[in-house]
Amino acid sequence: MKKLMIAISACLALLAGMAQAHGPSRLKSEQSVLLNASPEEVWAVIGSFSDMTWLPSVTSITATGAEKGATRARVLDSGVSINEELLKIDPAKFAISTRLTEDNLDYIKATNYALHITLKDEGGKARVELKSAFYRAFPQNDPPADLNDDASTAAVEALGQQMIEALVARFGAAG
Amino acid sequence: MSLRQACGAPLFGAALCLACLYAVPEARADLAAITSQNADALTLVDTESLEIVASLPLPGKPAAVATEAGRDLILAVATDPAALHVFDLSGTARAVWPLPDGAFGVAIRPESGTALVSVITGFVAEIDPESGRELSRWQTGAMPSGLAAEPGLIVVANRDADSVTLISAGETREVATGHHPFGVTLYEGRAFVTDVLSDQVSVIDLAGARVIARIPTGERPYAVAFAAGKGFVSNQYEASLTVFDADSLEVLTSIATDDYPEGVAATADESRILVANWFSDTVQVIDSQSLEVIARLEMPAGPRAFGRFIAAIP
Repeated sequence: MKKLMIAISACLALLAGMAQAHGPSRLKSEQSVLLNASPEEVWAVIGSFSDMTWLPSVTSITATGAEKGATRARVLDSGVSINEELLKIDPAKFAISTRLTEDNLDYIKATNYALHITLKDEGGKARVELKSAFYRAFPQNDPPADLNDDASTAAVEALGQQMIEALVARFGAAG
Repeated sequence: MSLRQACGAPLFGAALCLACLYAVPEARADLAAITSQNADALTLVDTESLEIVASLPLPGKPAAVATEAGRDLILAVATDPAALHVFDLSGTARAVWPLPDGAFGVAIRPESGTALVSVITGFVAEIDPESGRELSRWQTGAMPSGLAAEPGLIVVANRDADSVTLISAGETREVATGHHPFGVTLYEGRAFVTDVLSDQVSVIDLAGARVIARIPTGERPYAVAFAAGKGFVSNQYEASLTVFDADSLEVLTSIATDDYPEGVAATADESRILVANWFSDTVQVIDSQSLEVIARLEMPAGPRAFGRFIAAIP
């Protein structure tokens, strides 16, 4: 019983520490690419919460629905499994937003990660905008170098770059 | 810069103030003080001309800010390292005082002009902006975040306790809210609290210390401001302001904003609402009658302006 209490205290202390650093300093990154296809054509491929075949690393996806608030489990070819929630989907604006419901540092070295994908029409071509909002992977003070603000920003941008490369491979880059 | 460093002796400060008064045009509009957390900056905006009056360095990832024109005071809380930054309305840095780790929200106590700072380890500290001395401390619920004060009353949102703490005459009372309360705005005897994870605003009758209504909002509401008989709620994930009638509490409409809107405040004449958009690095100006976005100002990265960031210049 005493051991259990100690374990619970340790967990609470850890949680308190994690919550603590989450108040103040959220990070963000913005990436974009102009594709050689119309926004409609690109949206037909990426505008689904239950289908991510456009991203080669996704081996399976199971979604509870297609409306805001739906969740999905995604398994990657690396064996990593992640859980996400659909925050927003707006086909009229070509906008889809998701967030990780559980942090997974094997997937991305960041916490509270949310991704907003929007397509803009640029002379008939689709400008893909990837906007990510997140906290660093190590929420407490004095993060190790591989989990600090810079490292987490680099990890988020590397993930965005994978998505951009997958879309360029499929549609080609414009301009 | 040393945290203990205060800028200038009182006489020098007074001389500076006098100089500012002469430098400022007479028919000056209100002043908005916008904290940019990612850029470590404070931007002062004239709310009438929409010109940027001053662009100032503000190190330490600041989010929360409070202003009071009558006391020529702008207070901002840096979070890393935790510090209270004191400016006058001309943008002159007056002092920087160290704060307890986890300092986050800030409001100005109207009776005394002192700083009320929420510290996420579970208390509110009252700090004298002249000396940096801690004058009082009140225990709150878990993770106190946004707070607001009127004479005789302090209200603080306890983010991880799903409650607000009402502090008056040394007595504290706790009122249950929705999930993850963050922003607090006091208006006509009521506290309006954004329940971030419930997508609603809890309306608390301050006399009775109880929730009398819940206003549905867009996704992830963060802050509330009032103008022209209407309330405006910033919805971070939805990129919008929910507009509700301040009397009936009925939702009237929604206004699309730039991305991740957070800090929202009204000008003294209630003609305009300003909202700081954290992701888009903008401040948008909304006409409180037509509900149209009438201007967009570029800001240094990560504007949050969490608190009463507009100083009502008489």
